[in-house]
Amino acid sequence: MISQFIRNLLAVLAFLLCMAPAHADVHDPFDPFDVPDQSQDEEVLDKDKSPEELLLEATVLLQDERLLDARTKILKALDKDPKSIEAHSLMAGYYLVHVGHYRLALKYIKRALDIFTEKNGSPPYKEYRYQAQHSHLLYLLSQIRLNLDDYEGSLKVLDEFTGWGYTAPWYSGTRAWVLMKLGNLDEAIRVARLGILVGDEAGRSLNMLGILLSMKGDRQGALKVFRDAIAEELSLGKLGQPATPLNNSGEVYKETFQEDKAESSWIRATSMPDGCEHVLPSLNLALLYIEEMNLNGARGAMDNFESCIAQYPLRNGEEHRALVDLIRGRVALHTGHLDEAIDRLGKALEYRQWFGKIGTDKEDLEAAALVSLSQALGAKANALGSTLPRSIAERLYLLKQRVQLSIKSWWMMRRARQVLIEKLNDLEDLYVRNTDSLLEYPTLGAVLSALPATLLEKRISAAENKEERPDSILYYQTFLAENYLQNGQTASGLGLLNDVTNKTRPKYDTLLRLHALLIASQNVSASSDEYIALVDQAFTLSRPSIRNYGLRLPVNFVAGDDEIIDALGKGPFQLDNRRDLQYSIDYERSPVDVSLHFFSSTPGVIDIKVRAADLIEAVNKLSEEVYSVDLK
Amino acid sequence: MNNAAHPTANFRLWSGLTAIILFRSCFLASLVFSLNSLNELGTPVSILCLATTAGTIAGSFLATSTLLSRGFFTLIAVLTLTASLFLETLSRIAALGETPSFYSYAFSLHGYLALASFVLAAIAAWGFFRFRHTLTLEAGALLMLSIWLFAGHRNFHFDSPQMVNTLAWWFGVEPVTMLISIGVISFSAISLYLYFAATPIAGSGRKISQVRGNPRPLAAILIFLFVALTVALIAGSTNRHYTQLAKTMTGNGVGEDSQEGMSPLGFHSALGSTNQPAALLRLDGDYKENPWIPMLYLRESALSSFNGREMVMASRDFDQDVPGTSPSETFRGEEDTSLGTRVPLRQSVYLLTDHKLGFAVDYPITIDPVRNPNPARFKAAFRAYSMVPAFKLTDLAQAPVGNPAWSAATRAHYLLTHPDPRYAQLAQEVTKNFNQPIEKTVAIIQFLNKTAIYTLTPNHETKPEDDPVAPFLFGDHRGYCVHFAHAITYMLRSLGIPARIGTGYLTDLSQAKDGHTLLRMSDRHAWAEAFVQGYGWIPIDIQPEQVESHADTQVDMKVLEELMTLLEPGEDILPKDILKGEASETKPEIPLPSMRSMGLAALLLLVLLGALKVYLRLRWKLASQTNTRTRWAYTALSASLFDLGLRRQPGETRAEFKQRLIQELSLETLSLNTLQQKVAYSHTSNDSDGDAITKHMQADLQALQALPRWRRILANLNPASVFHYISGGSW
Repeated sequence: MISQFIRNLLAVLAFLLCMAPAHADVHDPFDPFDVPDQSQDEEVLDKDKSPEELLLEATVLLQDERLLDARTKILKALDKDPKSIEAHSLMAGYYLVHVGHYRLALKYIKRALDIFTEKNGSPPYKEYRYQAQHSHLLYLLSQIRLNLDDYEGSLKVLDEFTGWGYTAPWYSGTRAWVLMKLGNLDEAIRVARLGILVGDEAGRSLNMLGILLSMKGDRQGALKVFRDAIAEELSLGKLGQPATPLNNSGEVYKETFQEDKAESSWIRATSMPDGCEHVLPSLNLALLYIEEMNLNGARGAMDNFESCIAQYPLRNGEEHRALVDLIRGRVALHTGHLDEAIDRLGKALEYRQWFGKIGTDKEDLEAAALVSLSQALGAKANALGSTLPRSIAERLYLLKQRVQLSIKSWWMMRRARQVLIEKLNDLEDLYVRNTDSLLEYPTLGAVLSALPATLLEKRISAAENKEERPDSILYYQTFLAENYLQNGQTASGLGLLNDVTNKTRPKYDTLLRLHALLIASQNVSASSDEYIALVDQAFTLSRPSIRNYGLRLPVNFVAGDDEIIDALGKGPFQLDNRRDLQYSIDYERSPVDVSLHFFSSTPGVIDIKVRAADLIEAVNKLSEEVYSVDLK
Repeated sequence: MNNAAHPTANFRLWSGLTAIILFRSCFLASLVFSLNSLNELGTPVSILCLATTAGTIAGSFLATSTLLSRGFFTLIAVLTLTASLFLETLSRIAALGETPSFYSYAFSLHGYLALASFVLAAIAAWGFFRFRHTLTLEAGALLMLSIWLFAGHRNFHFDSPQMVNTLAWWFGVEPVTMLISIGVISFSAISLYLYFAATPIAGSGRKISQVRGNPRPLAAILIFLFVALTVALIAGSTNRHYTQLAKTMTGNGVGEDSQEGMSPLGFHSALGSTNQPAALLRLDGDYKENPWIPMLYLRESALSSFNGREMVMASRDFDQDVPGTSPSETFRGEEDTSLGTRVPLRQSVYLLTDHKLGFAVDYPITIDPVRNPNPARFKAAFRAYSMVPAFKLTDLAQAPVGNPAWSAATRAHYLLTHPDPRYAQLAQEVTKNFNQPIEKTVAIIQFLNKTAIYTLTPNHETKPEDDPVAPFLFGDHRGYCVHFAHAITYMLRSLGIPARIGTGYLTDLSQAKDGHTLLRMSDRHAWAEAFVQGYGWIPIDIQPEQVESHADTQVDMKVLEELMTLLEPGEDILPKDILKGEASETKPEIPLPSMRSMGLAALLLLVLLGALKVYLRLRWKLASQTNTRTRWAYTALSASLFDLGLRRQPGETRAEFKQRLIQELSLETLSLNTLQQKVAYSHTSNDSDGDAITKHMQADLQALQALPRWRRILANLNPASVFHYISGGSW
């Protein structure tokens, strides 16, 4: 939102700045008869142009998003006139908005200010054009400092801006943002409200106010303001940017457990013309679908985003690549494609993600990717644990792999805890569905289980006391339960989990319910009826999750070949013919191959047949088929 | 006379001990750095290095003391348990507060890692000094590490692990050179370490007379220098050989041969494809019309002659659109006006490794060498001006192929087919449902996309005279760009479509920043090209659906940004101190302690050591009881001698030691033994005893004044007695 605003403003202001001194006969892009002569060498033509002409052309090119052409023109202008204020400020704007190289932007803008003072003396200035130019330079300086996290410095510039009596429509929004970053929410809200009253860029100010109100906990107020912001942006037609307030309102809806409305907001946001300017609406939609275990939906959201972003081929992958891999990695994990999950999540961790000045930052991504990668590595270790080896050498190899994966998984989880505490403000993400967070909240208990129980209890108790969202309590209970189970308080943990599984909402809390069922299964006797009931329920919700959590599905075995019984028992199934179970395995054996048949007692639920040259291959193949899902 | 009795022997022992501690600390520090680069440890590396160094020092001094093994391990166990208890308490203590914080828990995580580092380093150092076989184990571990390091880089695979690649980048040398240099340096360091490790160390574990007798440092240094020189000479010639070989091996099988009749392409393996930066490309204009966006082809050479076995470079009568000039030469081409829908594109290339040929995006019109902006980093720089395609690929659908302006000889040159009829048969089979040349070309691409398996290691065993492409196309379908390009070219030519192979770089612009993109060795590429009338040479490339192995690595954005900074135009325009006083400039990126605080800490340590030393020397004067005074006086005198490098050797009685000192220092008398006897045998004492001790001490100190001044000054600065005292050593 802000970058788009700056982009537009920059282009307009630069255009205005260059208007006065430009007298050249330049190509008019809006004149259908003014066709540029392609045969002439642009380089030769530029040599004869004045700096002002070059800057004017650069401004047009910036508007046309021909950024590199524009940069080249500005540099040529700078070469001709090293003391051109306009050229310096355009370069600063270019590096601020289009490249994200803030340090270089700061150099240019400081130089521009120095030259400006050198040429025109110290402020105040009487002439309007000097005032306009000076205020624009100050604006850029405040934005650059904001992006360099120098909030005090940015506020100082804004004070100077008002000190010289300048006004601008962007002022209120920027000042409110800086104040928010400095933690002065009340004053930020006052400034944003004032901006709306005086009519400063209503859409942007309203969006800013919505964010601030949401941060203050006034979510209903925030939603109302976002609605106004959406209406304001929609009223601007093609120039409006409704996707930003739509995305923000979706985040508040999700935070307040109104998932239907959140989903609808994000679907609307992604369908807007500016819907894939940023990955966030698609990302939020995919995260929501994953919590609902609607994995087809999650993958679809990412597919749609990637096909949409393809229309901006010059966009840098840093804007979305890591986030796309995070989502695709999680989808792969939940569908049982563990190698792909590890690969994707590893890339999400490696790729650099550029967030700009929004609430979510690279530490949020790092923490989320570390947790998911740890889970994927753990799942892979569990999967290898139920893989039948062909030889002693393979058995040793599998053992080595499992040990390696388990250590890596433990280490990643440890790192995730460190990041969540040290880089993310003392585990502020413990607040369920923190809008800035990219964590998978239903399974967050895995990270928290290693924390001291007394400490976690106290923090969760404090959080619950402040909670106004009854649906969040189940999440806190799951976190505590997992911690109890880890610390040996099995009865308390299972009691809480029982409560959670009974109270979860259908659809919206599917992943939470699944996770609760699975960790409960891990802590009851595998031969008990309770285990069978829990695992059956979990299997119905997600087949891959059973293997991911290192559990074995209880099945009836129809025929009685000892060798096959032995192989299946050592593999990923728990053979039990003492009870009538939901799932069964049958086999056929011929001199050349073995076929295994996995089916449900309820017709039409699941029916998988595999055929292989030998028994070990058949069992491993069946395991892969049963415990992974191919999305349509 | 006992070898150890000589003062120089003591010096050698101490220098050996110091060298060993230093080596072990450095080795462990580099291990910590390596682990951190492989997987971020989360705890500052400086803290872990301090912990391992402290562990090494503690373990070494405890090992050279009289402490028994069981005592050491008990001490370590107690220390570990106490520290763990402290850290556990610390992690839970926050629960007592009103607003419970997890920071103490996070702190305990750092504490555990530091503790583990300390304990492991201490045990390793203890084992080294106390158990002779530890050295064998350590030598084995070093050997394993070396094998791991070098095996990781076999076939020039410098990305796994990336350390060699990164170092080569820092030092601006070829990775092969870096790898060999590391080998030589490692060899030297390990040799020195083993030399010092074999040097007898005083202490209960390694006794002077028990190990190897008197070491001969001069002989050792000469032998070492001789061996190092030999290794360096061998390494030098090896380096020259492999640097040439690496050109092909590290670049996806695409080398740089620029001679007529030769091919830069290799068929056997592209396993060495690395992330090593080769050049920085800076686009001076947007290229939105790029038909292959976000991919960009940069052509370096073209192979249009067929030599009976493979495609090779033709004479300069052909492929005149390809400059074929070196990066330091100027190229002037003529714009082919018959080629429509092209736009100009200016590019600047800054070479990071040596290149025989310049390269550019499609039809370059001019190439000019430009000023190297940073000779320490870049090898050369040039600027190219090209007329690049601005058409849509769908525009080509109905276009005829070939150039009507070509002579018959030229046409025949580009249509020379492979003698193996199978290429033509396959091409006919694949394209039987299509009539237009471009449709046929697309059919071939689709066929290969489906059937080809991308692998870096096809490893087809072929004789020099055999066709290296046949095992791919008519065999297992496993290959990489070189195989694909050849197969497409042969098939296209068999269909009457003029074709050749282009080589150079293929880069992904979605990984570019501010128009800058890093060209790496793994971006080196070979592709087929077909001549389409009115459009020119068009890249015909495939993307196999089946991928067995792929050198798919992301651009290192840090390196890219570092290089971009070197090209910043600000150097000439913007004053250097323009950001002076900016708050964002004063924030250190890495939270390392400042030089001032480190200096203060060092000063504090020195003051502490000095105070301990003074206390050790003078505390006997403070003792009220004569027995204590006697004991402390003996310690003070022993400490003075210890700092002079004179200490009682294992097995040496105090009387023998005194006698030796008197001889070595040419003293007439020394009270050392007298004091010791008083400590040992006196049950009662009186004031006159105290006076006697004072006199003895004064006499001894007077005697030591006879030693050379420099030796006394060094002794006063030597902290050895303090360390010995802290480690509980006997006097």
